[in-house]
Amino acid sequence: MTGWLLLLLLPFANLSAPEEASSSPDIRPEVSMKVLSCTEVVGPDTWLVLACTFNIPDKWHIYWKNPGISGVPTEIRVEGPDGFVIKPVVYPRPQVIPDSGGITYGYEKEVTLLVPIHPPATWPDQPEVEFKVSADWLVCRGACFFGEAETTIRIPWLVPAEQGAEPPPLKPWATTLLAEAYWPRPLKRRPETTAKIVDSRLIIEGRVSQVGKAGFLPDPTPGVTFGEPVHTINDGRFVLSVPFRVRLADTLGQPPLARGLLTFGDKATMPVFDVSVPINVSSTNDSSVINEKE
Amino acid sequence: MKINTLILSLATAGVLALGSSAMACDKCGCQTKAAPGSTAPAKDAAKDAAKKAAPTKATVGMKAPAFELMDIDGKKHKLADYAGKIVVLEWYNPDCPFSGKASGQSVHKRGTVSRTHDAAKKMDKEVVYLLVNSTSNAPKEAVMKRSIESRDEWKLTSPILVDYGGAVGRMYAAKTTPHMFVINGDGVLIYEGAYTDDRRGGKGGEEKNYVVNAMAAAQSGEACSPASTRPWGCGVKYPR
Repeated sequence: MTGWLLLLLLPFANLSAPEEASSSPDIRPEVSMKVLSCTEVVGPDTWLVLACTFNIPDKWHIYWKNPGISGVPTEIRVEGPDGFVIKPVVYPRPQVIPDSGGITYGYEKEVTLLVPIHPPATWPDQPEVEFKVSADWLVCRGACFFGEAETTIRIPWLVPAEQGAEPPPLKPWATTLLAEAYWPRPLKRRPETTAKIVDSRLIIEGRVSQVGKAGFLPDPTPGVTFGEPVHTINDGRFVLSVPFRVRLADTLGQPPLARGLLTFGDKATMPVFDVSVPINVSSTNDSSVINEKE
Repeated sequence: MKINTLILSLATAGVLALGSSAMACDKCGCQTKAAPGSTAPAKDAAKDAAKKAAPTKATVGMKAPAFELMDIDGKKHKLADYAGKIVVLEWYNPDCPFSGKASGQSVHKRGTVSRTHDAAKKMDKEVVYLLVNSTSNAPKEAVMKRSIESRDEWKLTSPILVDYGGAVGRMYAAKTTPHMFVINGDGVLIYEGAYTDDRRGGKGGEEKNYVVNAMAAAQSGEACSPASTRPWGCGVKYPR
C-alpha cells in the first residue's frame, strides 16, 4: 500500500525553474510545473494523457505555441519506452496579451498542457511505465526569464483480464479538465462550419454562436503571414475572412498551412476549434504566393 | 570624415568590429564583389531597390531605412556611413535571457554571436555588426548603465547603439531580442528574423545560422533564402 501511495504522490513533485543568477534587478518569478496522469493505470493500446500544469505568479505570463509578436513557445518533451508514441502537445486556448510591441498569446496564473501518448499493444511484463517529462518556457512581465523543469512520472501498467475490456477510467479531476470548452476541438465537430482558401484569404463560415463573436488566433507555418480578419454576419451565419501571404523562400521546407484557432467569445475559457488548411502553392495563380526563385 | 577613416577610427577605439578588428578590415574596399552571374535578376532587383530613396519602414528587398544613433560611448553611427558594407543589426537587451542576460539561451553566451563573427572574418568583404538597444521601459540612465555593464561582462566589441524611445526599432519593426537584420552592400535589407533555428540553444555549432546564411548571400549577390523567419526572444521593451 505504501508503495502505491508513493507512486501516486511522486508525480505531484513540484519543480521550480532554477537558472543562473541574473544581473537583472528584477526578481525571478517562480513558475512551477507538476505532471499528472489522467488515468490511474495505463494498459495496452489505449490512450494515456499526461497533464502538465504550470503555476505562474500573478501578473506574469508564459506563451502559447505561437507566442505572437514576441516571446517563445512553452514546450514540453516526453521520453518514454520504445513502442509508446508521444503525440504533439495540446495547448488550450490562449489569452490575448498586449505587449508594448504588439499582440502576444499566452497564459496567466495557471495553465495545463496535455501530452497524449499511445501505448503499444504489448509490453514486457513490468509493473510500471516510466516517462521523463521536461519543459521550458519564457516568463515575462516587464522583464523576461527563461525557465525549465524536468520530472519523471511512473504509471502502473495493467493488462486487462479479458480482451475487449473497457479502457482505464479517467480520474474525476481529469474528466472535468478534458470536458472544458477551451481545448481545441476538430473543426468538423462543429456542425455546418467550414474552412477553405479562396484567392488569398482563409474563409471560415458557420452558424453564429450564442457564446460570442467568432475570431481567429493565427498559428501559421513558416513563410505564412496573416493579416487582420474581417468578420461579417448574414442570416444567422458568420464569415471570417483572413488575408494571408506566403513567401515560398521562407517556408523552411515545410508545406505551408493556413493554421490557427477559430474562437468564440472573448474569454480564454470559451470554445475553440482547430483550423488547418493546406495552401496549394503549385496550382494557384494567387498573387499572395510569392516565389522569388522563379 | 570619409567612410574608411571613420571605420578605422572606430575600430581603433575598439568600438566597432567583430572581434577586435575584423569588421574594420579595409583591404577589400567598399565595393560589392562581383558575383558569378552578376547579372542575375535578384542582384538587379537589389540594385534597383538601392537606387530608390530610403523608406521609413523596413521591408525585405527594399532599401533599409536610414538611421543615426549614438552608441554607449557617445559615438555617432549613421547607416549611410557603412555604404558598400554588409551591415548586421542585432536588437539587444542586456536583461533578456535570449540576448544579453547570463543564461544558457543567450546567443552571446552560447557562442552563436562569436560563430557569426568568425564566419564574417572569413568573408573578404567588410561586415559591420551593430547591437541596437531599444529598451525604453526604464529611465535612460538605467538602460545606459545596463548596456555598459553587459558590454563589459560579455567583452563586447561591437558598438551598442542606444535607441531610447524605440524610433529606429519601430521603423525596422524589431519585435524581439534578438531580432536580426542583414543589409547588403547596396543598402538593401535582405534578411530579417531569427538568429538561428535553435532558440533553446541545444544544437551548439549545428544550429542553422540565418545571419551567416544572409551574409553569404550578400557576399555572393544571390537571393537570400530564407529572407524572413519568425524571430524568437523577449519582446522589445518599447515605451508604452
